[in-house]
Amino acid sequence: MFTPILGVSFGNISSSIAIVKQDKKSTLEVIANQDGERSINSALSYKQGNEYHGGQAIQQLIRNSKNTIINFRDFLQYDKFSAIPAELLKRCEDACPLIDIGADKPGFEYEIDTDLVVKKSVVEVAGNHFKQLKLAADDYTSFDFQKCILTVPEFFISNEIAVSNMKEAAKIANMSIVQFLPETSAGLVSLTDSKISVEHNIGKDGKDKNVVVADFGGYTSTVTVFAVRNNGIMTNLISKTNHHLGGENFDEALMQALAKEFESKHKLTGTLDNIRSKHKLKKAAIITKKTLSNVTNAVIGIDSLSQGMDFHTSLNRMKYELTIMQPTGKMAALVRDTVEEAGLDLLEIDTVVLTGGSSFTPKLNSAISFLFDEDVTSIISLVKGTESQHPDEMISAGAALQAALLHDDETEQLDNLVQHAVDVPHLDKFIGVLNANGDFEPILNKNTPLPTRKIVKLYKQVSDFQLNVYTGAIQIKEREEEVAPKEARDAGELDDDESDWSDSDDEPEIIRYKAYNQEELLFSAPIKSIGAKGVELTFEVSKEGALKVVARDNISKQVLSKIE
Amino acid sequence: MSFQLPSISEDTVKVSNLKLSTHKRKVEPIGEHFIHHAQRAIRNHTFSEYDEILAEKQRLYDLANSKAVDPDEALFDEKIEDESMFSIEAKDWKTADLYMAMGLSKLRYRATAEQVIKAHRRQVLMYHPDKTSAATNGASLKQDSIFKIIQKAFEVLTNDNKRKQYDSCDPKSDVLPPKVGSKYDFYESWAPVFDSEARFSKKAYNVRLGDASSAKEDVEKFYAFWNRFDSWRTFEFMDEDVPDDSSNRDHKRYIEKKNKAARDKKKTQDNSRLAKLVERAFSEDPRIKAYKEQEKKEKEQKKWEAGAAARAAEESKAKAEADAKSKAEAEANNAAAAKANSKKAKEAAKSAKKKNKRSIRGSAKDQGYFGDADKEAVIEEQVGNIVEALNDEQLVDVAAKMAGDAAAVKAALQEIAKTLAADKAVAEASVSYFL
Repeated sequence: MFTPILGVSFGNISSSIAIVKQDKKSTLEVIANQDGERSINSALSYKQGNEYHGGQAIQQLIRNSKNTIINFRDFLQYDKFSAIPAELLKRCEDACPLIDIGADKPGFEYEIDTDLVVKKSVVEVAGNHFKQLKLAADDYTSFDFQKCILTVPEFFISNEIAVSNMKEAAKIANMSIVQFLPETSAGLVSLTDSKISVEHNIGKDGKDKNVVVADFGGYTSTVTVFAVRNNGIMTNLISKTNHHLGGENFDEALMQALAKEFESKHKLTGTLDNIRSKHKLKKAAIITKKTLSNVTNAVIGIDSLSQGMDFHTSLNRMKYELTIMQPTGKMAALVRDTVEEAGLDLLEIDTVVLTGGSSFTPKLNSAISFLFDEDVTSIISLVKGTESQHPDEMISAGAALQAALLHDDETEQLDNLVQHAVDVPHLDKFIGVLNANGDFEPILNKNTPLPTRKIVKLYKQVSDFQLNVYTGAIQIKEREEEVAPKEARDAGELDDDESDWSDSDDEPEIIRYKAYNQEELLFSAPIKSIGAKGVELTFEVSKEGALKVVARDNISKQVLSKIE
Repeated sequence: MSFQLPSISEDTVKVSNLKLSTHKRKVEPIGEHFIHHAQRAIRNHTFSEYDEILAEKQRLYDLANSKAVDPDEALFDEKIEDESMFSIEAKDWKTADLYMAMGLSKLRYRATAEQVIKAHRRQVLMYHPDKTSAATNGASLKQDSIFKIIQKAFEVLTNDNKRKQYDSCDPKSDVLPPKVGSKYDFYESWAPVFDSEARFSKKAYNVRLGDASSAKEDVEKFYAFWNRFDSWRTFEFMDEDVPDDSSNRDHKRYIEKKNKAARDKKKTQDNSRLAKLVERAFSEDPRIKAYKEQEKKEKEQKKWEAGAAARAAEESKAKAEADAKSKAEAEANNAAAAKANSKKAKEAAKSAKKKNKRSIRGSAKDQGYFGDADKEAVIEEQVGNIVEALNDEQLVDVAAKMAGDAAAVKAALQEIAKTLAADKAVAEASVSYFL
């Protein structure tokens, strides 16, 4: 049994479709098209009356670029050709160009068959793309999907034109869109859903977390900071998008480097001015990029790259990483800036999730890892080997999981849920208690959506105690830590040279760490324990922000005290 | 979370503020926790109420998905019963009963792939050297070989091809037919024989032996199936091991050739064995006998029915003949009787006529010639004329009137004379006296 709602992620470069199969246990399946691609290129190509889709269409770029449509998703934001910025138009100038197909409507003009030229609007092209995706899903499940959940960038959801264009495109493929999900949120869902036993399930331990989801796509990079509270309710604290940063920048940098090498080798110029050479080089660059994400050396061979000259070279990862230094630096900076703009310190981030095709790049992973303290923040990415869902597929997987949830809980309509529950008050401050040392122990985190409840079990608390509940704030402190002088331990064994070297490095290291400060006393209450095996404290905050604390005996659940 | 709380410093509860400051934000309408949150919000459930709802949901879900004790477990053997299994050396694994090694001696060829895997896991847990040596302080070397045999059995039984080969040569799965000449219940003894033989069928075994009440059609289908039995049984398992060293290719080929010949021979033997088996069952099947009997009866009945028409025709013909005969006889009798009657009547009539005539003739004399004795001759002659002229009716009529007195007789004679004269039966002159 499959959930009859398809999860679709629709990217500029690639799309992916996923579904939840419900037998005894729910399993997530990312569906491959008939060519076995799970990450299906968002591309359509026409030749001799045939429509090619996905990887097959990309193959056509070299010989049939004028009838191959790529990078069309972002155009869905516009309903007028004149409104589209020239920069965006550049994206497909090497393939089938976007033109005004009449009445200021953006569209493509291409030859379906010999002497049969058609003009299709962007929406119709997207519709054909959806049709192909639906076909792959229908073939796989022998089910006729009529509903889907679509993931798009966040800026699409707030754009009315984009939403209506998407709906229309889906209608062409005979589907209705149940819900639009922001890509980063969908990526996060695939790691918080309890149905899917991902090793790094974020919600599993029930702790509140601040999670950064960084989606590095082909053209755009989006970084979102989420506050995950109450096991898995997500609040988007901030979302930043760079529309000119993504895997394409890697390709571009690599292409430039390769072209330079080729030209200096053969004393040629203008390799990138020829469209066919450009596509050949690009294809090689993409393959090289993928190869170097897995192994440290790649061989590049292009037959007849330009003016009949073949190009053969090899590239190691080090050189590649130097080439893409700039975009990776920008990506890491985007993450850092977003966290800062959210008013958080990098130390407050518990988890970083890297998703999107570009997140394979090891250099990007290390660049982002350097930002964070590895003891505080865990980074979930394929390169780190710490996740079971492929980053390309995480987003559609999230959409499919959401589809399964909506399908299971048919009792409530989504609109109803959204209407009643989306706009909710969040806590301004940390709420916590003072421990025996007088330090603040946070119980409820800042940015927790209300109503909320948290149960704290203190097994060791067997005697009477004073419950002092405060609001609190986080503070980043620094302390200097002397590097332990090594000579003291093994002076006898080391020769002088080495001791000198370690002496010179003997600067105090500055350690930054999190600390909490109590601010305002909410209440103070003496609680008489009856000598039981510990105490259970339940903190509940109502929708209106009223705090209620109940202290219970851990075993008998007898109420010891109630403050409200 | 684990920390200690301070001891009591104040006696009374001091509340300064329980109203927390908040700001509005949007949560993402995604994920199960959001849905829980939203449901609580819509229905105004408290957390503890919602916990109960979730627990109930989970309970129902578990109930629907809970699997009772695995029914397969009951089909497996408790342990390897046959002690001799433990003395088989691992290299002689082919002589061991692999199904018994796997604890599948009850199921044998009927065990599904899933059951084989389950059984294997069970056996491994029981007979793994680590387990057994721990249990027996390392004293049981022999169990090492049984584990190897179990592994070998698993290898064979999980490979479709190898399993087919083993099943083909598993004598313990064969069910022997009842002894010739012994007394037995046909259905009880033969059904398991055919059921076990059917495992070699390439086609599905749909129609089983059945019992005395089976439809004839099914019985015929059953024997048709067995007469056209297509067997996949192969005898590779019994092959002599082919030496895989390449030192002596001729020898290798020779062994291979020998194996193939042996296999073919066994196959032929098996086919003829089965054919004989089916033939025997067919000849002993009480239903077939009953069918034959019935057929015979039906034939007779038909024959008899076919003769009936002719017989009926014959019968009716005889009947018709008899009828005709009796009819003819009756007619003849009647005719004779009628003839006799009419003769008598005629004679009676004749005599009556004579008597009447005589009475008429004698009447005139009897009446003294009506006083006209002188005209005796004339009267006599004329009466005689009248009598001659009278027809039979008139004769009777007149004769009846002759019994009266003279006048009546005379009147009667006169009357008849007039009638006769009028009829011109007599000349008037010849009866002038009475006119």
